[in-house]
Amino acid sequence: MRGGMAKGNMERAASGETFIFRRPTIGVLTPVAALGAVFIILLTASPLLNLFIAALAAGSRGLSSLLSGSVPTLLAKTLLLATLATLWALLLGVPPAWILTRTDLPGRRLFRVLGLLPLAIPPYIGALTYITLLGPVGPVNKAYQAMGGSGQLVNIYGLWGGVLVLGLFTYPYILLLAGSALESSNPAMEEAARAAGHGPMGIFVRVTLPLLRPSLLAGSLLVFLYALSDFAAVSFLRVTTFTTEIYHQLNTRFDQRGAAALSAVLVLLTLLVLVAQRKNLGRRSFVQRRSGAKPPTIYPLGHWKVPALICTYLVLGGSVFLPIALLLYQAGSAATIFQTLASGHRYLWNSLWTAAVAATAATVLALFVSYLIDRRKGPVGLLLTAATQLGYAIPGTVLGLSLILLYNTYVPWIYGTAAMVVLGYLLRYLPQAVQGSAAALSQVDPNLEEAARGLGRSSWQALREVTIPLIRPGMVAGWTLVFISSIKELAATLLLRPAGFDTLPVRIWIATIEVDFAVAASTSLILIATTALPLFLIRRLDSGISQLD
Amino acid sequence: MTEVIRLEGVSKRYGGGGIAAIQEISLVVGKGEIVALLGPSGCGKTTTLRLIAGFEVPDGGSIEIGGRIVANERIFVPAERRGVGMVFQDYALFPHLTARENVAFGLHNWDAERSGKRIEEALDLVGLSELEGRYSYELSGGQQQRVALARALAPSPQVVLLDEPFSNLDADMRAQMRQDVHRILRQAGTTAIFVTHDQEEALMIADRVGVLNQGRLEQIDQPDVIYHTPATRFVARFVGSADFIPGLVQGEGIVTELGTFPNQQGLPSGQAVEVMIRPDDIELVADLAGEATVVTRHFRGSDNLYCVQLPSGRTVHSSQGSTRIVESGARIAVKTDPTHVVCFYEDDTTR
Amino acid sequence: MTLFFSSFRPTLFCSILLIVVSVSAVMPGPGGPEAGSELVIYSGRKESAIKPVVDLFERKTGAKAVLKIGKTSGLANEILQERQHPRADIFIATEAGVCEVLAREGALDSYAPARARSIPSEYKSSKGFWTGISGRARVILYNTGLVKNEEVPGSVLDLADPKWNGKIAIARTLERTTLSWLGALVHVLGEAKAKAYIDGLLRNGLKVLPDNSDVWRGVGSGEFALGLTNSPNYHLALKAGLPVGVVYPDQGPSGMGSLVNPNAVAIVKGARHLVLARRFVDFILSQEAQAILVRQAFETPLVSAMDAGEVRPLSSFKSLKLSQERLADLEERTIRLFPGF
Repeated sequence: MRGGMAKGNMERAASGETFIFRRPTIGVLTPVAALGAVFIILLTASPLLNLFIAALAAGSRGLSSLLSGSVPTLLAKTLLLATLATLWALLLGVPPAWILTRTDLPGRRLFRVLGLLPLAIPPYIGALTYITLLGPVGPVNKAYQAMGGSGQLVNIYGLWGGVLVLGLFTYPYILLLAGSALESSNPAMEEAARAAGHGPMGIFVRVTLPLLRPSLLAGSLLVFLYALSDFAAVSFLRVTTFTTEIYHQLNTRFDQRGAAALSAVLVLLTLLVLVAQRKNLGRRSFVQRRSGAKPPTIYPLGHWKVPALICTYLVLGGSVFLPIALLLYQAGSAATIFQTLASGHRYLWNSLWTAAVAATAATVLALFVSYLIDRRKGPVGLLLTAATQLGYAIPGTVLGLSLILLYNTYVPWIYGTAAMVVLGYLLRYLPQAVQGSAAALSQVDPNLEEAARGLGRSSWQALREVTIPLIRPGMVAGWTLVFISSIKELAATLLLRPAGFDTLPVRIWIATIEVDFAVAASTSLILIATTALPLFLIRRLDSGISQLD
Repeated sequence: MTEVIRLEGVSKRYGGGGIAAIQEISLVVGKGEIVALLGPSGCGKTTTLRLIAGFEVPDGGSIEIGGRIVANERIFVPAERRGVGMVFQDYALFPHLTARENVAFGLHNWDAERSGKRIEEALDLVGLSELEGRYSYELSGGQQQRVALARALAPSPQVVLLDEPFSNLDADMRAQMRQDVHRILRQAGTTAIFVTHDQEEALMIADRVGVLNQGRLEQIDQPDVIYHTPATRFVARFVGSADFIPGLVQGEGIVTELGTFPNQQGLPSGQAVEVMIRPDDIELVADLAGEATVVTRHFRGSDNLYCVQLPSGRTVHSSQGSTRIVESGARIAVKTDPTHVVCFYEDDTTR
Repeated sequence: MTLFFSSFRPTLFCSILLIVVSVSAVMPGPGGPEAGSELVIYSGRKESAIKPVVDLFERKTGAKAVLKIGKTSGLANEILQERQHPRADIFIATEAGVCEVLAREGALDSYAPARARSIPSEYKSSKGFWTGISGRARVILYNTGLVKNEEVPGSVLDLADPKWNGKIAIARTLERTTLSWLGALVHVLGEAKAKAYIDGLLRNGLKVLPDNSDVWRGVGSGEFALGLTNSPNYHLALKAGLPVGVVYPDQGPSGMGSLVNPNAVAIVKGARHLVLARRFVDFILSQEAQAILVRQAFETPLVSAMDAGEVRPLSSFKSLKLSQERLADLEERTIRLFPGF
């Protein structure tokens, strides 16, 4: 009887449109999602795995190089550099962030756009600028000596030079994040402090700054991790760090295993930092900004206008005007720039399309990853998070070599094409895209997707018609970050580009070895202009990027 | 009565077979019926709703919608193919779409002319035709609620599911919306299941109320039946308030401190029971020689709730008209005349 | 572009991405090594030096060649990584020691071009794995504004003089020519003496810079009085209008002579265009190619009967006779001996 009932029911179900069996799942994932997750983990973790296997294969030699006295010192030096650079970036980023969002400084909108420009200037170009200006025979030291001073007034080489330059060209991360947080903060808190009798300064120190902590931490993280992984700028500035040492191991000793062992340390260090950040984020509640909320208080500057302007100009001067002015001077004339552009337009095109494809691929992967992380709890999300964050940790050179071995061995038809360059960018900068869309996604109520499904949309349609339109600013911000990071990338590009395929940074590098300053400067200017383009065009970058914290 | 929803022994566990969210729930909802699932938070009412909607996969049992199996141990029809409408607690209006576009969202497969007409109808039904161009943040809570309802109703689903539909509204708006939603659902002739923790809401709107406790459906019946003859102590306490006083069955009567009640259920003599007394069953009679004492009085607007101490030291509650004031400490007599006498065995939690 | 983003459509985006990626993956990139007949040249030599030679080769032979310019050591690492599916046909190294490393790893193919016969044996691989194409002598570069020619020590061994405290620069061993020079010191002086000598220089404030261009620019600008570097850098500094002079050290009867580091050309093992690769090696040793290489980069010719132009020919100074095989043997010890150099 029961069986008969069940059969009857099934027939009724079958007489409907389609007969649907329960879908098999793997844990909490559908087979497609599981396959995607495996693919992404393979894609991102394989170079690292390769690296660790190489490090293990190094055996005694790798271990001895790890345990030798130089590693702890190296670690200390690298951490010191990254910490000081982060503090310097905070110092550079926070005051302008406050001035540009919370005061009536004239021209603050323009300044906010200009403040992003250092992101378009590769730190190695910044390093060359400051070496030219503050080097032992730069105008500053020359002038000092001409005035009767002996020796050097400033020494750009070494730790402090590294700190100066890294901070100057990474502070926009902090400016952006802190700026957006300041704009969206709830004025009620500050009004409460005002009611309690605090002036603007007191409010800033006692209320605003503590509330900024999360976005400052997020910005600091970006700066810190960049400082850990930078190679070109620090090597120009003669600072010894993990990355320069890895380069040394590779290029003097051809000791790929020693380099792998050192990289492994760097990877662990980065993962540690990321875990610490996650812990911090885990306790935080995020504030959902609502449209139509009361805008924050704008303070009239009064007689503070001039100091505020000076402060803003100083920061922008050091990070934007000075390098660009020097490059213009070195390029000599507009004719040189146009000539460089005319003869090298294909390098521009190479840079543009590889960066754009990498940014787009990163955005799509990031959407998938952040969706899995956010909507499906459990170990898969954690694993994916860890895997996609690895790109931060591996120095470009090591990543490049690792990819060569891996892809040339297993998928030789990809290797030797420009797709490798795209892959290099993708792996290095995927974390930026993931952070962008993950933060945006966490603000989208999962009920919205269910509502869409209740209205007849499949999960895929719900994603396309509801979720993606809502997180678009975050995705666009992530895209832009990956694009500008990729288009500046040098270390991995040098290794991964096929013969005959050069990008703008590669051309700058080649011109620098050729000691052709005019071409190097013109190419740099073209690169900066190209990189700055999306920064100017995407108006909503601010709001999108603010979701990165 | 055509049945629209049938749940048979549906169970759902969370956390890899650990905690049971709902256990063996069986439920039949007829066409045009409005059923409320009532219970405290965590009782499994929302889970039940999500199982019907297709957002959760049941661990056991079967679910039918409109005579078609949508979930059992072999079949699972995803939410988008079940033809149910859902109104979420926070409305879940798409913030990037206008009110009209939200309503139109479920009509993507309709031809333009029909869907246009349907949108007008739905907006008319909820009385929002003139606000159709607004985005959700430009609408008040009640208006958002109406858009959500119109959106759910527009594709003419077999059933509309409402998850705590009024909990995000403030008190006066809530009362208004209850009436409006009830009217709209009736007018549309839609079958509806809604979930609430507010008994007043459930009793007011629903044709039948199902009371859930710890994942079990304790009773499902018409509101007055639920109120007057609760099946369990839990239902008695949760729906309206109740005091329980001990009594002893003696033939045709049940003897208690408050007097003898008719043994309507035909319980065996000598059985010790507890009799449920509702506050509105207790009359306070001014009597200086009365044996009971008023302990406290809470003014509740439309009535006063008195706490009265009986000679045995036991306290019971009584509600009286708001104009009738008895000061605390006053001695009074207590009169009871319940129409329905509900008894529970003393040592049993059910009956 | 604003418009483009405001109408950002994921589906469109994804499809464009897919198309672009598949096109770029399937079609060989512009001049990618997959492009059948092109000779693939990895060159550590600068583009300005090698490009004219390659262009001439293309014109002369009608063959196509693509260039990948990089650091010699970086390209060598790539060749090592690519061993399973070699991409490069030709490797041009700024320093022959790297070729010796690759040869020992079995990454090079042997070829003995006829024109290499006149090249002294220390400037080519005994087994034909690589051939020197030009040389760079190890010299002392000085700033003529700070030092007079006669003040410059005639031997590198005199540089520990306190007089030069903090005034001498050298590139670190990342520049393979420095590593070779140190190896040569170990060979000539023995480990203990070489170590003592270098320690003496370091105590005397020897400045170790990232690369040779830092050295010649530093000397040219007056940041340093003396620089231990390679002969072409003298000419580069002159060309840049810097006040520099040059001394070829240790020329006396008992002097060890100046070490000459050869640039080298090698054929990668498993090269896909072996015949063309051999023709290129022949060509690079030809009179016309040599003329370009030497003139453009101020290198010392290794093939006899080549006009050295303004550069001092090999025959005009005493060079240190030391084989690259011997240097390669010494390499690991040398690196250990001078950590962090």
